[in-house]
Amino acid sequence: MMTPRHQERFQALLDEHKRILYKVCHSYCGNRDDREDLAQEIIVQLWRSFGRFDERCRFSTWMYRISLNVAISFYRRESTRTRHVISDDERVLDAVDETSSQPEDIRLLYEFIEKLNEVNKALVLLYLDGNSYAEIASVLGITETNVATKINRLKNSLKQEFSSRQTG
Amino acid sequence: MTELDELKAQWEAHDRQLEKILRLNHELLSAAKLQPAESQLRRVGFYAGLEAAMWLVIVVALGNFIAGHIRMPGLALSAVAVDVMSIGMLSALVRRMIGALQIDYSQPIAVIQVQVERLRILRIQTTKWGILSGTVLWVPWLAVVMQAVFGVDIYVSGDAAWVIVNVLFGLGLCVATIWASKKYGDRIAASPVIQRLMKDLAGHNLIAARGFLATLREFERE
Repeated sequence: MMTPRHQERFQALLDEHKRILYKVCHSYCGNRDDREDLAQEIIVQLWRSFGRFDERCRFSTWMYRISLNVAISFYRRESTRTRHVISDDERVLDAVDETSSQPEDIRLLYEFIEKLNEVNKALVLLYLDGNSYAEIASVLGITETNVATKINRLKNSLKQEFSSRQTG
Repeated sequence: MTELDELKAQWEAHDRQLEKILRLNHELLSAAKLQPAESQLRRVGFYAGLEAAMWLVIVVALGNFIAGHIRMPGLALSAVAVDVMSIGMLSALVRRMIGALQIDYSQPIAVIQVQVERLRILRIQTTKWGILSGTVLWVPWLAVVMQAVFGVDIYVSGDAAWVIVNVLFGLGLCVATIWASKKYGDRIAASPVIQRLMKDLAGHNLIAARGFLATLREFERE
């Protein structure tokens, strides 16, 4: 049973790390209403698991694991879900003046992420957010060497993607 | 810009910008608003439990029926066939419920996604074989229900040709269902539930699930 103190702590931590929520939702959903549905699913799952959260661990690592696991599961069933239309009052996460906040390179980067498969999306997000190879390995459940290999591959494919855009 | 590392600097700036422009709707984050979502999940669990209880009652009732009609081979064999199907449905449902309860999303992605995908495969196979075996076994089901409810043995009172034609009809319907779901599955319905059912029957969802498991295995390999 969650005490009011737990609830306050949960809200404060979530507020502090809301950017993770935004980036995960934007990387896995192209549609605004789907993003909102996903954000709500992630928050419910975080809330359900918060009682088991070990305060000795970093909240961001724990939040990444849950958010990415929920996002991948959501993405895998997205095509057969009933779509909801959500009013602005019902939105749990909102960005003020969102369009002006994304420079061209970031927009292209989100486009690049969108084309990756479910697990590589997670890898790129964790890398861009400055997590160490050890942290990435712990969230993904693969070895650090494997993380390094995959990141190198992704760097090469990004280079190709951008150079083909420039030549094309 | 072509390098992921160069983009990292931009990403950090984007991150700082997000800190300024993002706002969480704290009212929606209150326990009062989160609790209904939790109870909705509990309701799903409750209905799954109810379904399992229903199959258990059917399995036990069929066991009694078999014992009571052991000297009537037609009826006893029909009941055995539908009992095997019911036991299969019950065990698949229990495995799915246990599997769903064991999922802990705070575990590493490679571990959890394999569990989730295996559960999805089990759901697809249960749906597919439940519908197909139900279609093929509809005459044995009818025979058991008619005997249990009205005391009428359709194998004795009915014409043998009628029984054979209906068994063949069940088989034909089964083949036609698979063919139609493969050919028209994408166009038949706008409802996501029906679409999912069609894709389950046609095998599209199973192929996708197995494909994703292969992606995960590949991802874990160095």
